[in-house]
Amino acid sequence: MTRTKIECTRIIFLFVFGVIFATNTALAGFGITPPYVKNDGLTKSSHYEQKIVLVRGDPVEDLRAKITVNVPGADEWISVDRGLEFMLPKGEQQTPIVVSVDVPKKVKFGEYKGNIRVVISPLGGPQAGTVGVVLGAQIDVVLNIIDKQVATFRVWTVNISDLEEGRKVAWMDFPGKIRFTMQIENSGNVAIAPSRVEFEIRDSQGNVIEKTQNTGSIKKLQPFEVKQVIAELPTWVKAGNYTVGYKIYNKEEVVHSGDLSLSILPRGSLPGYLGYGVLGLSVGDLGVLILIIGAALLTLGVGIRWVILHVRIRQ
Amino acid sequence: MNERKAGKITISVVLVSAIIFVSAMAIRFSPFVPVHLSSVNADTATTSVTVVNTPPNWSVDAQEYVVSSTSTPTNASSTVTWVGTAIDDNSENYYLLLCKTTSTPTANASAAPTCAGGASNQWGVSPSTISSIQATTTYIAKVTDVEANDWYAWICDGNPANPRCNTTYKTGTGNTASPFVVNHRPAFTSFVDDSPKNPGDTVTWTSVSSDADVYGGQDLVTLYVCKASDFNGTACGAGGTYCTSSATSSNPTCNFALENPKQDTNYSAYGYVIDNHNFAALGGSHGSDSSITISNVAPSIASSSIQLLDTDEAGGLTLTSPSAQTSGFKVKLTVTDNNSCQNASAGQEIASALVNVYRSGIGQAGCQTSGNYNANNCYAGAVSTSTWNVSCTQDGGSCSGGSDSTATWTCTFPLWFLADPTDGSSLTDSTWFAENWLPSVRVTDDNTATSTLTEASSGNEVLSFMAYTLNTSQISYGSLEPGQRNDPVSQTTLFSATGNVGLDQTLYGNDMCTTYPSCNPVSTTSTIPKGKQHYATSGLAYASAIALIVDPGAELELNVLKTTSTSTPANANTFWGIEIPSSITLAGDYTGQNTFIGIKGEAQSW
Repeated sequence: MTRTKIECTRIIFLFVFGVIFATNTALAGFGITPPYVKNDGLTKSSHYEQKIVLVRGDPVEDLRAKITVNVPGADEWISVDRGLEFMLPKGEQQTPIVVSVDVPKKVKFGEYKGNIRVVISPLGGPQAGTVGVVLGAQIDVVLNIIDKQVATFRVWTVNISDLEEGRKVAWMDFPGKIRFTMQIENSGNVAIAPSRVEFEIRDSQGNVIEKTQNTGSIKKLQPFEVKQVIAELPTWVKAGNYTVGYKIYNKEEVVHSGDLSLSILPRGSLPGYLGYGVLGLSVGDLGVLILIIGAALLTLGVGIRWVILHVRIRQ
Repeated sequence: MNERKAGKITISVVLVSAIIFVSAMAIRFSPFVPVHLSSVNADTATTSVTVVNTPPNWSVDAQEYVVSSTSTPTNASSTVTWVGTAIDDNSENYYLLLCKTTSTPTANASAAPTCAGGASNQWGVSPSTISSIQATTTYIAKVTDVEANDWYAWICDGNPANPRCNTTYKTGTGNTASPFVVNHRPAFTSFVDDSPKNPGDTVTWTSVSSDADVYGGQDLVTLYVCKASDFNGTACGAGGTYCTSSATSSNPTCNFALENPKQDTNYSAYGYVIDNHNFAALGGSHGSDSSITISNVAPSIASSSIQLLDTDEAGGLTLTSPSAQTSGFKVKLTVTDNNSCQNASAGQEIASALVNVYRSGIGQAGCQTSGNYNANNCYAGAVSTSTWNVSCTQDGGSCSGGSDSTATWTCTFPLWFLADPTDGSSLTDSTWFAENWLPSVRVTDDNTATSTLTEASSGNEVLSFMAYTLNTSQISYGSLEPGQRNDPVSQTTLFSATGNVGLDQTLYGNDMCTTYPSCNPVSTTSTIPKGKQHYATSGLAYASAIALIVDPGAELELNVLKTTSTSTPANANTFWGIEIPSSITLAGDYTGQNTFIGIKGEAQSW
């Protein structure tokens, strides 16, 4: 009885002690953005990446970050570029991580939901005699594996670079080269690029003075990739300021359209500017060029044959 | 026979003598022969005759040396030249005399002849010219001359004794015949343009100009407008031509489609008028500068060119500063100005840009004034930079000069941590999942002309930013004896939303012991199980609160609202309590660790 009283008194003392040292009201903060990994258009063998930024409110000390993945049925597909444990160094307020999803070839179609947790903790553990607090954040995961190829993209931004007017060499009318830059997100699960880009060039009165579309193909984006791609379009319009009505196609569907300014400058205005070569010629000009080259080759061939025959006869 | 023969000879002698006598008498008294036979001595007959001077004769008819006709008249102040050739039987020199009348001129001894009526009737007279050599006479046409001027060419000699003019005058033949035609300068008294004009417009120059010449048909006038004062008489020089009118009887006009772009300033335009014989006007407005004024026009922005971008220019707008502003978001745009992107002083044509950034539900009209500013959803450029530090500048190198109408601009700005998120696909994801963020921009040029406020045709999403602070790094339960507990739960941890979403939390923890983190072996006398810690969203009775469990823990619907004030974060307390098991016998410093996992709350609870 006496011993129990003594021990209880001791316990009381220690918790009072604990109170004294547990009144640390330091503000601890943590955050993530965006707090999710979501994709409802994945298919077998898809690869998808989501960048997530871990944010500390006051990075006064090194912290250990531990990541746990809890997405039933899909844990094995998910990886983090920094691994599942890494350091958040002192002074670094933002730490980006990239969560990758690699859907296996053999997988059941359907929705896979769960979360990824990021817990940050001091290297030394809690202060003795206290209930320490560890912070974390949850990344919601929703992955939908579908049995369908989705070929869609979103156009984020577009831009037209200044260009120089075309040039005439003999009968050949080399056009100016419009470089139309598109920031595109492949929102589907197959590689894709805009099938074509059309321009309608209008003068200041709104009259359509030229219609043109891209030459060559546009570089494809991998599924879920966000990238700038460039379409090149020929124009024979003279130097001046014009308005362009543009249309970006996915097959026959207009995905994005709008108006932009087109500034065509006199030749020599843009250092390093490269216009179109032979591939930019019109069909007519190109046809004439091919005919001339063909005729030249034919003449050369006949000449060589004549020389050979002549030499043989002499021999 | 002989007698008869002798008689015949006598008769012959008598007849011959008679004839001689009669002839001598006839000669003596003839009025035509000034021979003074009377002075002849009766015995010596001296003969004498004076042959008088004869005038020169035409060998080549006089004519204009250079055609002066209705088709090719002689411009005033230019020279009319006549030529003609005469032969003088005496081989004397002769003069080619050009008179205004058909009256016979007066030949002068050892001097040039003069026209009848004097000098006023005379066009000109050649120098004394050797017989049979072509004589040349000139006349400088005067402004006061009439258009058609008859001329009559005479040839005269200057015989000292008996100067003579040929009585036949000549007037030329064909194109070189009389009259010679004098062309007068057109009159040009006014030259103006209808500027100010905008780039791309058509400027028209009008003139008050005419030509009084009508002989052979009304003379026509043509207006030339040159870019430099370099008209060479028939065309503008190297400076270039704005326009040339058609030939017209009076007041010619012409026009020119101005370049686009073109800087807003004054441009020289020199006017020149010539007639249809390329005879230019003189004085008046000839060569004067009408000075075209190109107006300043307002710049414009194509909505498709406006881009709302994240700090790294890819993806949605990512907030990364809890309880603070994240800097470096961008609005990029292309500004078009028909006065070009470079002004006449080689500076920037576009002086400034004003940008508003807002959630689409607020709309362009709802986010323009400083009163509209709301850190949650409307960043109006009208506020001071101390409120919203937006900065817009023209991108270096995006303007290539006066022939470039476009330049790109970039505005950088911060967003507060609580800017409404618009990502997701449901009302659980975000209250505003169906919206996005849009920028609208207005630019002002160097003459304070402004574009319309133009909204981007496509926007961007503000991503959810799940961030929080916890007001403590430890939980203190106070001093308790075994068997005692916090009832109701009363220790609090304050969870504050420092991002742009509402919050819930998941909680889990570990057992407490004095040898933490190693509480093994677990002893009922020295280990306080995690489940003895209870928590709730309010100060419930200990028994009603939720027992803490091990990882992965349990979600607590704390429902911290989304923060809407930059200075007062939304928050909620978690109430904690602990019960010290009665079995605990070891007094000491019990240590444990609880984990708070922040979770983005369901948007319906924000």
